[in-house]
Amino acid sequence: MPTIAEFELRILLAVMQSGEAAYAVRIQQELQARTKRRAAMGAVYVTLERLVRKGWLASRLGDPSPERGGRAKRFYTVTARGKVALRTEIRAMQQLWHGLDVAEDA
Amino acid sequence: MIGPPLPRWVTCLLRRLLEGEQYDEVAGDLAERRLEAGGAGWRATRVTVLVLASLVRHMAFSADGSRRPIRSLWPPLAEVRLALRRWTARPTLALSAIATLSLGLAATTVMFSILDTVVFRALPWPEPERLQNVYVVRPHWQNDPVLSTSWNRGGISWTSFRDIPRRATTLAGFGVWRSERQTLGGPQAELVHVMLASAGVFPMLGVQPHSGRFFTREEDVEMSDSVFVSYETWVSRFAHAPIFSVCRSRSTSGPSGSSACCPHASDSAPSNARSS
Repeated sequence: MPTIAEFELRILLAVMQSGEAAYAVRIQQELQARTKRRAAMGAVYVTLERLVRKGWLASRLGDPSPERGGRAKRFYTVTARGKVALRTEIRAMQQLWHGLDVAEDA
Repeated sequence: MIGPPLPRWVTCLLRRLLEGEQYDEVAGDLAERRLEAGGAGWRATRVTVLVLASLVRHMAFSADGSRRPIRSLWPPLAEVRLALRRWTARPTLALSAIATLSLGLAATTVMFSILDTVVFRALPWPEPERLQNVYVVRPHWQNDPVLSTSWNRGGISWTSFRDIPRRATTLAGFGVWRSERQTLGGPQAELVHVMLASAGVFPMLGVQPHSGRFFTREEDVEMSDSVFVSYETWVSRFAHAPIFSVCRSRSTSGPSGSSACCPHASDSAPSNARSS
């Protein structure tokens, strides 16, 4: 199983949070809204393509729309392999968290 | 709502960066983002520039080399980035490298300028290789502390000027001149460079008069009031006047006796006028 980088993890989670409408613009907005951090479109595109090549994301073309100049959106969904990678990563994170107390001091 | 098409420079740049479905995806997203930003104007341009800049940055330097077109498009970028990082890490090395490069570039530029002027660039006359300077050589001057600097660069006397064309059959033309400074009169007197030139000088150099005529052979023998004015002087001092008066101090020591103003090397259209 290939290792998963931090930004890849975030993209995978943002794709899942975006649901059926997970295309690049929406994924970036989801990332920025939930993490309160800027995410460059170039980084989003490059990471999406890398995740597709790893087999963790699948993509399909939607219908062309006039506001996009007659071009179709490319929608992304997390594949079964992607979900396994996510679960593995989250389990590893939970193991690392186990027994730690990082609650804010009163 | 139908958005305006992407500007041509944007589609051109995207075509250089991406291809096929990647292009359609990014171009469509960009059109949508521009529409959200008003479709045109500075906000849409700002969105476009931000997206394109992030694309270039992340595609050029992505860790696994994905989106290869940008890598093959700008291969020096990675080297430039590496050089900058090393230079910032070792500023002394950077300064010495910059100093070495600057000195090398300056030395090369100076050498090329000299060679270009002296060797490569031809004189601004037709058939410059046929032009020869003729001097009088006086070997007995070599040991004289005052005259030794000009022992082989002596001027030609009036007698020699008349004899050389007759005796030297290999010369197609022959002319003599002498430079000096004289005062050009008028409302604003001005010290100007003038040349005393014989009739053969300008035809030998291939110069054509803009108007009027050159000196004649008779004027080489008989003193005349003819002057030959450079185009630059004609425009700046005489405002293209067809006929004008020129006050000059007569010089009788020159070999030809005619007073002339030499055309500037860059002048393509010298002028001639008769003085009254």
